[in-house]
Amino acid sequence: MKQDRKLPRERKRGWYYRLSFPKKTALWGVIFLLPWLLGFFLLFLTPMVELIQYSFHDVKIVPLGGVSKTPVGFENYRQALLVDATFAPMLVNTLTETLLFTPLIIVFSLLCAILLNGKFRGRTIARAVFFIPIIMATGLLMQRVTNLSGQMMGEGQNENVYGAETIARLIMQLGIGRELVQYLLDAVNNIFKIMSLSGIQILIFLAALQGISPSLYEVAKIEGATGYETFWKVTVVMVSPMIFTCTIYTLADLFMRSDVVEQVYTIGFRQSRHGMAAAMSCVFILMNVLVICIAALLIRKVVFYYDD
Amino acid sequence: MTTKAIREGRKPMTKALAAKKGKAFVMSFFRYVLIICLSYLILAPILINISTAFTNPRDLNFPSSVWVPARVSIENWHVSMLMLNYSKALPYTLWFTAVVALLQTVSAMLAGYSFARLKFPGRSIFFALVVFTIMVPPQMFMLPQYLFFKEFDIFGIIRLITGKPLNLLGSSASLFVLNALGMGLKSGLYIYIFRQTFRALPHELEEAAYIDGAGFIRTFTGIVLPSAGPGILTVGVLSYVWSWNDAHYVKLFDNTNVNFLMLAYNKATGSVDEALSSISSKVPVNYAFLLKSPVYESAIAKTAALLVFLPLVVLYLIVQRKFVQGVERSGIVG
Repeated sequence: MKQDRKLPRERKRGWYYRLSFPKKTALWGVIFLLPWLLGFFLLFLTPMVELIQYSFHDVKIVPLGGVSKTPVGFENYRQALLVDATFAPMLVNTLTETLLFTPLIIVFSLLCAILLNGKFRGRTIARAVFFIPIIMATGLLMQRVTNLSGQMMGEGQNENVYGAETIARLIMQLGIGRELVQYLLDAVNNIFKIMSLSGIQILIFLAALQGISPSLYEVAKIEGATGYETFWKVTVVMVSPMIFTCTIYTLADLFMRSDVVEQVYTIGFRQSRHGMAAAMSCVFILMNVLVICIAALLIRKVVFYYDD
Repeated sequence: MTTKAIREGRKPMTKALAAKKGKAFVMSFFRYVLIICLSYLILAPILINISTAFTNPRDLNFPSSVWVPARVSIENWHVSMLMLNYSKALPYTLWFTAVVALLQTVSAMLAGYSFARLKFPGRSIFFALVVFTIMVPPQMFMLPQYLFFKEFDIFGIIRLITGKPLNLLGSSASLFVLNALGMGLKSGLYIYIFRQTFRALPHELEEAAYIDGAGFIRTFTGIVLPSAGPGILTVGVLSYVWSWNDAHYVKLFDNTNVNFLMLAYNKATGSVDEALSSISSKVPVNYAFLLKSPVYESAIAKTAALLVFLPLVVLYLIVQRKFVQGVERSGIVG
């Protein structure tokens, strides 16, 4: 009887209360995701589709609003890849530079994280300093504050920021060739570049190192592993999921800083060749996604997941 | 000797122990050397810019005035502040960036929680799409997004009410919309961080809340958010810092916003010469002879860069201890 009396009231409280828990979860999942979904469709998917459309058209901005499109087929792609003198070399350049820098950044940031991990005097200050590149990471401020590349040897006013030039002059006076000096200066420049790009990666690796359970190191010690073995068989293995994350982040980050992005802006907004810019964007995005997917597949194979 | 050490309660200094201690000393020595070298690499450009900024404009070319200025002066700061319209631009930028970062953090938080805990069909596909948004440089969508904000409308609703679409270009609303909808600068990364943070929290807390009759919103705001503090701090700081430094979106959608520091900085340093001559009536008379000198212009540009950068440093110094701890505890690692 009691059951009967309760039922109508339940019905009055509406359909939501009759949903099962998993269904409610799914409903709230969609509700929580709603802002992002809206943004994704309006500000990512639609622009993406439009971009692909533009790349097959000759696009002109109409002063009153909107754009006029005349279909040209693959002409834009042909122009971008075969006729334009700068785009293809730039693409290759970006690709090689990215593939060269990514492993360097990963190794460097892992080493930095190991340096900063553990207890030592002044580690709070050291960590604070190492994360400063994150503050300067995006935007043009970085270039202005450092303004290093190309200024040490020759062009522009020499800033001699690190005193590297003084050392370089000294080495040259010792009778060692200019090439070697140039190489050393490049190395300083490159270390700076790597350093400035690896803030987030150091952060992620440091968090990963903190997360390794000390008992693993204890076991390794009891089993008589040397420091070298412990590093390769415990530390590297345990942070390997983060190597995966960091590699993908680094690749995406480096692509974002590529000259191609600047070139697309110039061609699109300065020269008003929007179709051509769209074609370049499509080629570039395709390259990004392909490279990142290949890298992801390759690394997935060697990553070790503790939980699985 | 050994027995004495034992009697005094110390460990006897055996050969093995000595070797171990020596090794530890060498290791920590190398650690310090590396850390100091790398810190120098980071700090040197900033320090040398600070030194230039404090140099008296007349001494800028003096060879003896390196690292420590021969005559200290705040004249460069004064001129740069005038050039950037700093007294107006700084409070505005602080406020503007805070709104952008807040919107971005909240939208990323909601999406991250959805991806971490609320199972619904197609969730993994959408998460793959989030990762995809990280891979595409935002600059690629300039024209379509520009046109979108020129005729802003959500599924024809605004057209229905006012008869014509809104033009959001040239107003900060465009940036607020962009960030509130989770498509701001690096939003994908923040969603990823939040997903990892929420996944690392123990399930039991939320289960207990559900059993005690809390709804989903109540559980989220009352149970999940308070325990996800470190993750929120991490994303909040990153979002604030990167929005502060971002010139791309502001330049594209809100180009007339001269009060945004990064934009003011870009405009001023694009041609320091012009910027200086436009404020030349306010520059102290005795420095007028410097106005066309490139060394002076570069010193002013450097000071301006520091002016843009310093508020972030202050902010960072305030939160850095919590920030670094937060990263360790936020479970970014998951």
